[in-house]
Amino acid sequence: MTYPISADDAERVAKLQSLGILDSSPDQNFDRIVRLCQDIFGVEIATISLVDSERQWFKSVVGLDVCETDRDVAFCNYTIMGDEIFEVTDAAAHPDFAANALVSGPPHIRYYAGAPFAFDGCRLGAVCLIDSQPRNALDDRGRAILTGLAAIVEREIRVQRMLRESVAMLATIVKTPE
Amino acid sequence: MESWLQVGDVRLDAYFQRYHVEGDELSVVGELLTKPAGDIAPQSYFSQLPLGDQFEILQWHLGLSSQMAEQFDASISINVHNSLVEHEKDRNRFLEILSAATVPVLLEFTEDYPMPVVESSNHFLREIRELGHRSALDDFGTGHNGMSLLTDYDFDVVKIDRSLIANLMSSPERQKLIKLLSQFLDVLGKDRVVEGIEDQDVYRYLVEAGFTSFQGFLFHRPEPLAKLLSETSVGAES
Repeated sequence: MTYPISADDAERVAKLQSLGILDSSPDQNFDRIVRLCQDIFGVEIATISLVDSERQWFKSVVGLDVCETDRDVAFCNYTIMGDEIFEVTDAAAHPDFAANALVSGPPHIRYYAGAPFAFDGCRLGAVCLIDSQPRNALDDRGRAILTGLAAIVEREIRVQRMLRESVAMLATIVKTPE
Repeated sequence: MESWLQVGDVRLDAYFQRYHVEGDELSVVGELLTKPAGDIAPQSYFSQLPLGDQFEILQWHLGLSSQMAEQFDASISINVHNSLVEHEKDRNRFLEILSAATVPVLLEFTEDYPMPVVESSNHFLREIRELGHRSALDDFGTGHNGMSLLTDYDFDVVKIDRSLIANLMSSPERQKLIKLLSQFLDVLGKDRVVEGIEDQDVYRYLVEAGFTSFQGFLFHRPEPLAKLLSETSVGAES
């Protein structure tokens, strides 16, 4: 499969890898968000996907038993090309996705919507809604909710990063004798 | 499984130092410590040890951990020299050995020797979790790596070095900082153990600040495992 890739992808990946969020332990803050997605939108699968150099890794996922997929089958490749929601209402009828292994095989994706989130100007990944049935495009309310949840993820990543840096800095301050 | 291990000319003896867990007198939690017999300094001895010997020690430690778990229902923390996980093939061997462990353990990685780059390390730490074990950043606050180890590396537990609580009672400023450190670690979901507790006032202050696990002479000294395993209970608080 081919997918769109931005000229600064290497820089984006380096930023993502430097955050220490890939392969990190489960986090209830993110888990709550994917469960909310499932409840609000009534989709089978919801994920917080991070697009690494060769894979997409799910920081949180409901409705699917895997924690990562190869990057070349990731719908999120398209989502992280822009700042807006990327949506595919029927993947089986879409020229770019009909032959995708996740469409022709399990989990048989027909519907996908992803809202990107970024750190320091680099789009790390997306909050994704996925279903095995085609669906209508999100209405304005749905788009606003999904965009809002992605903004919460973005802020959570930033705040956690700052907290970690603060703890480490505090340790050096505590140790320094007055 | 013996409480000692012969490595070349050197005999290693195992000790157990129990932690004090505030509000929980029943659980036996603590660290397995290994000391070379005679006058050999442990730190330099373990740094120069070939990988083959380190792996043998790991297996020995895991065996002792399950013995301690069986006899005292104890949760054991063991030290891992970071050189053991520097290369991918060694990490794989490490995980293979770990997957044969019969009880969950806490694996402590020290701050004073570099860890592999963050992507490899976090992947490795996740595999440790998936095998049912946990990982700890040991001696937090001693080295120069502490900053990135805490910001980037996904350890489950942070062991706070005694240097961070030195002179705590004479400095209100330090007390505030330690309290803040505790709250931050709480929000980040990190468990923590404070090392080197020797003073009742420091201990009381730290409980107030939200810490619950303590390692230090105030509560328990390291006890020879040979003695413990021949007895029926882990020594009372001193």
